Amino acid sequence: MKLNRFKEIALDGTVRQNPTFRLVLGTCPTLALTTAAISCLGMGAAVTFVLVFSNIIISLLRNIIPDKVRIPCFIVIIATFVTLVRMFLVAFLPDLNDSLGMFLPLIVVNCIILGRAESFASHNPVLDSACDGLFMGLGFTVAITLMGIVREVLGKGQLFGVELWDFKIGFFENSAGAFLTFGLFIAIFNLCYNAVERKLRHKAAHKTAAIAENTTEIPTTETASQSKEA
Amino acid sequence: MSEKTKKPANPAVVQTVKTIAVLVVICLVCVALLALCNDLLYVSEEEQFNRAMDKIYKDYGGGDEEFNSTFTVGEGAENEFGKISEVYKAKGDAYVIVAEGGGGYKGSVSVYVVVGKTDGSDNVVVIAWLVKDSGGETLMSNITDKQRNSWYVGKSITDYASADFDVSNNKVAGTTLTSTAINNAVKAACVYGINVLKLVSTPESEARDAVVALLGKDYEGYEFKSVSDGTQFDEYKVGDSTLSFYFEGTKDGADPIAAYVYGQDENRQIVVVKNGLTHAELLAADVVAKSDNATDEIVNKVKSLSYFEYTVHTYGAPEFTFDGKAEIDPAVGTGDKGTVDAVYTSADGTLVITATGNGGYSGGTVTINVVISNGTIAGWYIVSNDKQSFLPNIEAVWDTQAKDWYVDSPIDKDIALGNNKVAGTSMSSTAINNAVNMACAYARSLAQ
Repeated sequence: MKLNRFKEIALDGTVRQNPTFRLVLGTCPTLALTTAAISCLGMGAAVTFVLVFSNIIISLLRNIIPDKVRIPCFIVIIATFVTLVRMFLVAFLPDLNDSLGMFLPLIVVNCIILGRAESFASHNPVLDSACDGLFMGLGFTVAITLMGIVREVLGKGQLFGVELWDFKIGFFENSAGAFLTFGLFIAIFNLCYNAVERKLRHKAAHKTAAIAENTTEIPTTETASQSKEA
Repeated sequence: MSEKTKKPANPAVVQTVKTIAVLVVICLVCVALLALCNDLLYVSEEEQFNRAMDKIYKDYGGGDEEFNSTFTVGEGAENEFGKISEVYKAKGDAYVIVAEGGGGYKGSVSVYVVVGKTDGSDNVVVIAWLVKDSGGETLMSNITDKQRNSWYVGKSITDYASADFDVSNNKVAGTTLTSTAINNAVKAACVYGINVLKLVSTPESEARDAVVALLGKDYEGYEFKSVSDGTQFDEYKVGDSTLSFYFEGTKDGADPIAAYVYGQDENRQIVVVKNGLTHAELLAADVVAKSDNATDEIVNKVKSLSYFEYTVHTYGAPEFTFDGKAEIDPAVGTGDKGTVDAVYTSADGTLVITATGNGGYSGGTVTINVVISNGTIAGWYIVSNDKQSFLPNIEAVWDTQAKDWYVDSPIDKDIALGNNKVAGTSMSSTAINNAVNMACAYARSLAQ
């Protein structure tokens, strides 16, 4: 895989197509689990694992799976990895399993995973698909963890379960607080993203204009030398 | 010579077979992988229990003999708060009760509740609790170790009805329903600890045990409610024995009973009578049962007390010696304003008249007891009502206003409603006024 391609996939997954703040996918766990940052990290890790491995398998089988049954096949593969994650958590990290609760099995129907399987992994080679899964997962993890930090600090006066102070705003612990935090994060993220993109576009336009200017100047010089020679 | 030609396969059929085959193969491979992993990663019930105990008892190593004995949950597994599924004997005379509490967001929550005595205390308290299975409670993660270590812990199991166990003091904002399910499970475990494991001795459990010991297993199903608060009722003394407790016992499909407990501990004398009888019926009836040491004096006293306790004293009438119950003269006891339902007399001439007044809200009535002494009203008490949805307005000002209405008023003439009412509850106040006047009129007729 070329470095540029890798960079594109990484940027798409974490920023340009950030599943939480740009595509607004996987909102159920985003709204429900962000009361504790540690749960967000756990959820993010679980989703990343499932994304990476389901993308790899789907990419490997993309030429074998008939088009008509691709969705059932994707679901079976995704569900298998989700079940594996759950078995692992029950066996080794029961506390995390308890804190994720119903949202762990619900990863099966998480739009991010099925969406990447359908739109990316089933059309791209294995390494690209694995990278896509990894960076999409990272984008999701970072996004919900940031939200989790804000809600935990404001709502509980804690950070990753460590008591910071007594001050707490109960509003951030409930559903309305989740929606407000989510909305504010989307707004801030998109504001920053649009500003940076405008700046880059502006820069690129300048660059193109400069190149165009240079290209128009070169034939003029050549023409001058040709006429000199003549 | 004929040449055999191979018939070409139908491409649609081939495609279908291939599609099904791929799907089936993927499913089989996934199933095989999961079966293998399940075998490797399976966590048994025992392991889950050990983990929970590890969390509760930091030094619990698993497989401890003290935890090995399980109890048959049996009768009493279900109570008003939830259901008990397992009980284990734990360290230091404690018990691990696995209780399921309903009322959650998606159903019920299963909780390990450890109850027992803590070091240096005779009080049986909730030592710890831990969620075993959160069911469909999606917001369980909001309830953290901080809550687990503070809610209910150290609180006496007998206080399960107090504010210490109230869900409003033990909940996380936004997770009220899940907190409620946990609350119910903990309360269910407390009730089980009290009633079935008999970890603490309450007046109710003492009454139940005494009655069962006296009457046999047929009376095991009785639910006892203590009507008295344990105060020694000196006025009911028989010789040196004082009435220490009075219980009302109910059971589906059986007559209600009342148990009178005289004396304490080994000197306890118990007399059980049918509850809800009229005074005349009670005097004529035999007691249901009595302890061997119960004297005839006590039995007679109980017979004279029972109906009064049941119908009058419960509502807070001043304590006086009940002597008899007069027959009602329907000509005097029935009128436009209401009816007189019962008249209790005492040796010193005090009367307690139960009267029902008409003219209440929505055509309903209010029944009250009026205590009449020396030609004046000594007090009055609300007994019951019909359709009076605003009556709580009067009860709200009972101590500050209502209890003094009509007090010291002479009964020689009808008493006007006047200021004996609460704004917004005029019709219920009118019904009370009518009942008071019915009682006064009846008392006047008796005096004549």
